[in-house]
Amino acid sequence: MTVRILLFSRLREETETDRIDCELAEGATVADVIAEAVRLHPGLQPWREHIRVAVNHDYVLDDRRLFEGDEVAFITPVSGG
Amino acid sequence: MTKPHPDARVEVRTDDLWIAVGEGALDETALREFVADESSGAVASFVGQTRRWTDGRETVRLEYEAYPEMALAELRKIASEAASEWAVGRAAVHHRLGEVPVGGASVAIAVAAPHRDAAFAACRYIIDELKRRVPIWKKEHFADGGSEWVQSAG
Repeated sequence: MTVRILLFSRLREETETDRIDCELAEGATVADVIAEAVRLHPGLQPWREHIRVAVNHDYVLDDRRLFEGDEVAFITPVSGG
Repeated sequence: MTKPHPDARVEVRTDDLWIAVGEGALDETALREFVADESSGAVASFVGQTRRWTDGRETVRLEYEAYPEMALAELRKIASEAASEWAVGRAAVHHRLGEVPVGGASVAIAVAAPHRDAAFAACRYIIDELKRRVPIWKKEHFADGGSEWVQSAG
């Protein structure tokens, strides 16, 4: 299944893209998509511990199962306001 | 280098709530006018604006980037949490995106309530939670030519 990861601010600059489309096995979880993203973009590795993941606009834990068409986002520490 | 996500304006406006995230100068008066009604004895408001100096470095402008749809969703949740916790009336939260000059307002919040304790508390809660969890990022551009994404200080 295909899952899109959206990237912002530092991660967007680091990878030079604002999105990564990942091919994942059925039953893949957020932990799996993080691993796949880092495999595709090794520059993400130092950020692993600083990323909160959102799926379809909600923050989720690493064991969240993913489905076809889910919109994933890697959220680095925010600084609004 | 990719450009930031096209920061199209996202907005929700109901009888009780007005949230907007997008480019363009904020209109603090419009927020206060939206929240005010006859049952509210108090309107508390907050404006976050761009400081010129940070740790001895001079800022020339800030640049804000957002995940707009999720920023809107999180702000709706935060406003709903505030309304559950305190007896408040209407609330409005607007966050500016793109470039904000020094002295410019980046966020404006207004909360109306029958009594001031609830208005102050809800307003404080909204800005504190916004800074903790809403997917918006600030990049600081300095007079010395450097720029950096801000590490949130909370």
